[in-house]
Amino acid sequence: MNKMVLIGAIMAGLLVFTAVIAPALTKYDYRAQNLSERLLPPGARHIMGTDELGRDLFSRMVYGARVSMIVGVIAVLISTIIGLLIGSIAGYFGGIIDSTAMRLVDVMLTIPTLFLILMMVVFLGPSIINIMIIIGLTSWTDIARIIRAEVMSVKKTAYVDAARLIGLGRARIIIRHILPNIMGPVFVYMTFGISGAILTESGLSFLGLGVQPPYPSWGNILTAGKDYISTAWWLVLFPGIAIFMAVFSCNIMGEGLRDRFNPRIKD
Amino acid sequence: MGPNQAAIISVKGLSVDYITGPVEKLHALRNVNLEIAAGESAAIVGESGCGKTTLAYSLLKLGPKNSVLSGDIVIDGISIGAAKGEQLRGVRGKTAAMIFQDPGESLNPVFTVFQQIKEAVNAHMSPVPDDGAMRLLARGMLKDAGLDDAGRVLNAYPHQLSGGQQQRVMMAIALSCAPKILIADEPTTALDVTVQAQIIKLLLSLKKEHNLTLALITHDLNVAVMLCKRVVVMYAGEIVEDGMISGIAQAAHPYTHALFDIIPDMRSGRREFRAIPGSVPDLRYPPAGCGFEPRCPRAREKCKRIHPEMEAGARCFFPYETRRIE
Amino acid sequence: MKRYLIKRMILMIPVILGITVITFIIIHLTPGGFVKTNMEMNVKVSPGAMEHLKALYGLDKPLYAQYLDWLSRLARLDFGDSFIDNRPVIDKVLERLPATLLLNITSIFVIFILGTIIGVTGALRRNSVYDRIMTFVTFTGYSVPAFWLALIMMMLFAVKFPILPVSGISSINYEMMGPFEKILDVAWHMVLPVFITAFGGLAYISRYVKSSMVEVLSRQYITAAYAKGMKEKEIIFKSALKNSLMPVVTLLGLSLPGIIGGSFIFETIFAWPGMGRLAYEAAMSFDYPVIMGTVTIAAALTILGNLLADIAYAMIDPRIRYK
Repeated sequence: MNKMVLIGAIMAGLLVFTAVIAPALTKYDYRAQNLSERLLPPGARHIMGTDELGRDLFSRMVYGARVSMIVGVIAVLISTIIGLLIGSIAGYFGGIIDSTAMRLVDVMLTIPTLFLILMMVVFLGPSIINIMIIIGLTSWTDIARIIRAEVMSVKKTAYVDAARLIGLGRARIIIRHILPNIMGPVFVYMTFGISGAILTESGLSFLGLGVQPPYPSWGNILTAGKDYISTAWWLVLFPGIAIFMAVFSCNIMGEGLRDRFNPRIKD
Repeated sequence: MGPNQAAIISVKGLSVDYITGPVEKLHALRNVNLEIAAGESAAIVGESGCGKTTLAYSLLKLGPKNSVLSGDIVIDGISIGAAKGEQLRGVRGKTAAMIFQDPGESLNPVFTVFQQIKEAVNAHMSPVPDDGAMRLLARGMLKDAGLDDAGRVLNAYPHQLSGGQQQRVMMAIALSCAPKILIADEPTTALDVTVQAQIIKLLLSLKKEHNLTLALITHDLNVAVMLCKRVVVMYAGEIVEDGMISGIAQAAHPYTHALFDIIPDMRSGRREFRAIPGSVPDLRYPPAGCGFEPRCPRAREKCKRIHPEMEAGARCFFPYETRRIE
Repeated sequence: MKRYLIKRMILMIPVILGITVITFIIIHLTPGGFVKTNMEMNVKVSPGAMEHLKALYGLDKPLYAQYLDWLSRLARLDFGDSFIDNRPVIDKVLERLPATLLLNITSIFVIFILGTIIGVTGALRRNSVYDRIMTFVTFTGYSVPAFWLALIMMMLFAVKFPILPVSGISSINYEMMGPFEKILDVAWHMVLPVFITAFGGLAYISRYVKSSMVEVLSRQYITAAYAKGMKEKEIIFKSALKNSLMPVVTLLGLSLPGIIGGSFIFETIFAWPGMGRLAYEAAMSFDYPVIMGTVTIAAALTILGNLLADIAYAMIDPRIRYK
């Protein structure tokens, strides 16, 4: 197995593991405020220190991992499903349906995504669920294009014609013949999609438009960090590194997968 | 080539390997020896993969980065293997010019013909002529290459020209610095048949007019024989025959013989295409004996075990009898 | 070339329409109608605003009529007035536009130039130590959350080594500076935001330039150039470079939405008085008209930018210019 995929998978695996066993890792409740212990640097009792409300940073970080994971995965699932649907319908039926779909893609690409997300967040209200849906609704264009191209090229091959002659229904053709060919690029896309979603979510949370306190997100921990930059470096360093690790591991996995699934070009 | 004629191209013991993997090597050329005299025209023929293109590119050290050369090439007294920088550039385009197979691909799509001629001239002429003088020069070159509306062609971009026009431009560029040698890599292959005839005529007249030494690379025996008296036949990275061949009567090596034999000829009345049965050896693992042995109708036990050397112009233990023209 | 450009412009029309439809849909998705929600949540809204809004957005009319209304207002760039200060939205957006343009255009230049340098040098020294380091650095840059990097930079330059300004577009004593000093002052303030924006975009562009260059260098016309006896520098930086940079122009056009969108984060962090920051402030105070205005103008900027990129490409590539 590709070295890059391995490294990425290990890193990501560690993060996922931390997220899953979160409750077991810490004795503090991530919501528990203790104003007498505000802004403590990392020490024996709080291994990552405390935030501006005296909450244990390590607990918030570890639960924040859960948020990132869930948002990342679900947002990507949503965008992949939308992309799969639009891409395969556009690719398979062609003609006007295809043109319309492509124009829709153009529209999505023209409105700067963050502005679009911003607008949706403001009108629909910020919450974890809304964020997942919104990110999913705004990032399906890449996968739709890939799927459409694959469907169009597979459609031309002889064996789909053969299947049609035998009388298999359209849906069956799509599912059994076309889908297996596109799994590779889809996995690559999903991997990069997760890192993108995590970046977007943490950015939004940082600006106060994503996960709302008291629920912890690496992004919204940084919001407080911003105000205490000079005094509480741990509030800035740890969440940032965590986001970086999550994004980096997904990106590396994505690169490795991409090398594996694409025709090998000697670099 | 007679013993008194000086060789302007001298290839000695040239071997070229392509590195295709951490331990894998493709032995594209194996110990090639070739001498071409000044003013001579030699056609280097063979099927794809025989090494003729590798040989052509090596003459001007144009091989890809993963190629390893051993042996030497001397062009007009300069050792190509050792040459670098200024010295190498002095040979390229000035002593020896090269034209390539697909003229559309060999011209830079984003520069005009004039700009590309200018590049060639500026590479070697000093002092550099000004634009007005350059235009006059360029027009003259294009006219020599048979392009009548030189004015329009000069300002055109390659994609606005036909294949034949592009090839003529290529030739004009190649001859712009009055080279002694012209290396032509499959100059007619990418062209229509009618255009091919024109280009061949052009090559013949330019050759005579500029007293060029011509090294013609081609897989088309007809073209080879039309342009050159001397034919050098390559197979599996080696020269297997070298001599004044104009037809099957002069073919000594069985491979050459087969090549001439399979050409459908209007006069013979035969219409079907034939092929030489079998396939070329895998040059990652060159055979110990004769490379052509598996497909050779005259092969015997000896051919499998011992590697034949060149003898009387043919690398074969059992060549055909020939009627050579001297 | 004319035909190519006309074709591109015609394709733009459905896109523009689509944008109007999408913005319209989002506005009306607000649960309970945004006027009501707004009234309930936002203390800052002046009492007359709600009536004004209702009339303005024709919220009592049937949907298609509302959409046509929306279209006609968009054509006139009339987004209504801000909920906060009752000033016309379009005015507020236009006064912030120059700052955003300044930042974004500079960033694009920096990304283009640096990306080209890194990409070309990477192509020339493939698989060398330099290449591997650059690939790793740009890859890391791609994975670092930009807003975090901005925070770190702020920490470094505001607290530890206060040499670069971390907020605003100009210093307090700006008004008192001479014209040359003013330019320098703004430029100085731009260093950090541009750097951060460029850091993320570099990875993608430099990698694209590198692969484009590698592909071009393998073409026969480059071999032919060597055969002509041209100098290597001329071959690489003249013959090859022009060919490999052409698709980059298109790519930059495609990265526009990302850069414009990203400016919203950077402007907020660095208190840069641009459109993005306006959008953020509007978001925080539920100033819906301003939000709609900024989003629409941002989309318009992208369309314009793409059109410019198309024109530039058509002019550079002789195969399109002279068909």
